[in-house]
Amino acid sequence: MKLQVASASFSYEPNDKNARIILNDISFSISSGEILSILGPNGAGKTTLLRCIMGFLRWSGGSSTIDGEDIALIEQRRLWRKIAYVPQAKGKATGMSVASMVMLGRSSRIGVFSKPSDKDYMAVDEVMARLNLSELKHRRCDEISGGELQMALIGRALAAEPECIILDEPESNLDFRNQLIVLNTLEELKAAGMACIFNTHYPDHALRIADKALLLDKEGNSLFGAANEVITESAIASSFKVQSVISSLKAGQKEYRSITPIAILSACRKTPGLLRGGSPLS
Amino acid sequence: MIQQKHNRAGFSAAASILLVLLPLAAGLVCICIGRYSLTPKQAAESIFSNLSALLTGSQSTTEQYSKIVWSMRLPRVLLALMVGGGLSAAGVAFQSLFANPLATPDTLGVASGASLGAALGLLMGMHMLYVQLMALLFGFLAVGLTFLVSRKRGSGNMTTVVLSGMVIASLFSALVSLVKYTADTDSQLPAITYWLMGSLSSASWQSLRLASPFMLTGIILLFLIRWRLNILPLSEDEARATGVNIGLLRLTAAACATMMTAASVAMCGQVAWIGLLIPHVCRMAFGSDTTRLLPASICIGAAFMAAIDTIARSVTASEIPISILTAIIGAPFFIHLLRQTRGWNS
Repeated sequence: MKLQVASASFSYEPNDKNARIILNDISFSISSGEILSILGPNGAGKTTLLRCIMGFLRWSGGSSTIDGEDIALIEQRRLWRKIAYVPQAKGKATGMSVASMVMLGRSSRIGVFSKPSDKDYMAVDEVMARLNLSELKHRRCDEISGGELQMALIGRALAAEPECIILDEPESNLDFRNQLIVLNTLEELKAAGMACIFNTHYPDHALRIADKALLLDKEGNSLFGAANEVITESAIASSFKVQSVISSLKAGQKEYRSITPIAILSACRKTPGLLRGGSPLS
Repeated sequence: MIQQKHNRAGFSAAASILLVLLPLAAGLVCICIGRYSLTPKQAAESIFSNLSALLTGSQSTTEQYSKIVWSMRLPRVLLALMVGGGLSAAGVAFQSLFANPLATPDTLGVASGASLGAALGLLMGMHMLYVQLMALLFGFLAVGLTFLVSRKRGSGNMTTVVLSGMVIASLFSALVSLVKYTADTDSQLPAITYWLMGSLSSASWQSLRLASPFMLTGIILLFLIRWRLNILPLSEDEARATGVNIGLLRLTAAACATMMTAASVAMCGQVAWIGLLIPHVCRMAFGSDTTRLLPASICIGAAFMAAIDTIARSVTASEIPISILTAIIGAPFFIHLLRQTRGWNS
């Protein structure tokens, strides 16, 4: 499976020349068994980008394709068996049980007038066991914690048996432990051959698990490449307008890289813009 | 295996049979009650003898009570069952559609529109059948207006739809008041007022024939897509990400609920509370999964309505308007349930 976005742009008023261009000439691709993390400051258009990729919003130019097929043209039921979407676990949850919620992920595989079959129940049980959700099966979605709800929503996406999973800030609003649970889950999905795309506010998380990274800034520019090449001190300065230091830390056998924000760079001062496709250091 | 049975969305076979038997049993009991009391055996016999007479074309040679059952009580009980089941199903559909536990069958202005139609019909002294037809037409008209008003550039926002529904509903209520104001205070006004409070006294085979296509289509269609109704309260993006044609699903649910509400107001005026009370009682008892909630609401709503109507026609010498009874019986019961359980939640 290969998901590709080719020279895609988005603006809410595509016909108005003066309208703000939210996303400008973005290109990237991701294949099975890879994790792509999308980074950028608030308002850079991370969620808009995800919505455009999945066809909820129409690109003003360019396209997103899956195995060469334009996502905007694929029949919906077929599309949502290939990709699955995990929204942020915020806002009101319903009084539905966790098991019923996860089952909704099977919708694209259940006929219009049908109820879930034995096969669907088995798939849901399997997903819940995989995500350690089995004990929450009968709990109501509005009674469980934010971390548990986020895992339930990931479960709902996995119930569709997708090849690619797209998550919108899955670890926001979660505590340390739950953040790690989400990140580990993404790594497990990657190991199982799934393609994962996730938005995040934490460059640390991208450094930790992502193979590829796409960095956006508020001017609509973007930088795409291998995660450790894209996420650099100068790129962070240019995109987030924050001076930072990337340091590494050894714990046991493994080395962890993390970013420490040092100071806010004044917005007026000209920082070098992101150069698409190239290294900002050059 | 037992474990697996437990997380099923639907009811077990035994529970399904019980649920279906409930309105049937309630209906049979209600047929027996009245000024002329019958035993369930007599009631069942007269239904069967009339049915077979109808099917074979022969003359039914049964007694007086058989006529009471066939031409008066049976159509009325059938109508009560349909209205109760239909309004409850409409309530479930609207509450899912608007992701709001307070949505009622009148959220889109259906009931107010249908009331105006009926009030106009009564004002013009039309035959009951035409009054009912007027109610149906105006019910659809009101919903059509609601959708026209809420239609904006881009996608339909549910909050806009609800607000438009409220505006249209209050507009039509005002028009109903206008009709009442101009009505003749000796004959027309009492007729309109009485009709608006809800009564099944005009039930006949003829009115059943008018209402049942709408009622049964709505109930059957919603029943068939009962599992899918779970998708309705999800946010726009989540709903689309299920791969389901969410626009069509919303339209189907709204159309079914509208048809049933308009038909029920056309047959028996405004029946308050059922569409709110029954779905909530069922939610507390069976959970929010519509696979269970919808069938349970239909069956329990039908039985409840039959019981209420029987009380309405048999407790006092003259009939008590339905809406008064549903509120008097419904409100305390509902309060009790709210205090017993964890309360409501969509």
